[in-house]
Amino acid sequence: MAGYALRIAKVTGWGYREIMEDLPFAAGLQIIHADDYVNGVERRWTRNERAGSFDSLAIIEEAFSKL
Amino acid sequence: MSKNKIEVLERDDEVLREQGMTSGSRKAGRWELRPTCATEVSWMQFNGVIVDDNGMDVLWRTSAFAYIHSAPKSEIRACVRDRAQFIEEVDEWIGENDPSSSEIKELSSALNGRMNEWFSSSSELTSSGQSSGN
Repeated sequence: MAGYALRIAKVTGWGYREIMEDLPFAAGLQIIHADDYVNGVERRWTRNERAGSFDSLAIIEEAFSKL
Repeated sequence: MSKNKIEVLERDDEVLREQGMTSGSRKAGRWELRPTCATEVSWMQFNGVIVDDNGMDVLWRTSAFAYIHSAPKSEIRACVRDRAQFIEEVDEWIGENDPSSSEIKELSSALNGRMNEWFSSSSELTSSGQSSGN
């Protein structure tokens, strides 16, 4: 977790609270992925399936409920 | 890349990553759950909420997830690094809140959703990737 916080701090310049308590962890991981990408470091998603286990119907309904 | 190319999210995990970038607070049952940030992940990992190493059932793990995401942080900090005390606090939370089976389902779905966003956003260096030295 310390390595994660340090990487995000280097990229964003944010403080401890923003990184540890405000930034969604999934977003932080993607920031690290993006930072490596722009610096020519290749990473691959550990999961990149077409059929992940999530409820697509629920997501669609949620999106429509916000309209 | 063509300027006119329409970007389409083709894989389910791409959708989850998109969701993960903007994952915010959400309501589940009677509880307003905070986003899952590094602090919450660390607390869940330490107490075996994600990978069960306490021998706890779904009710307890789901309630622990709800407790970590909804109770005041100062209250959680007071017990989170002491497993026995944390288990006691979650038991107390269950007693006070008495979640119904439909609420447990909602909380469980929220827990799975957050885990899916997290797992689909994690990546590893390829064999050709060079370490950034961090």
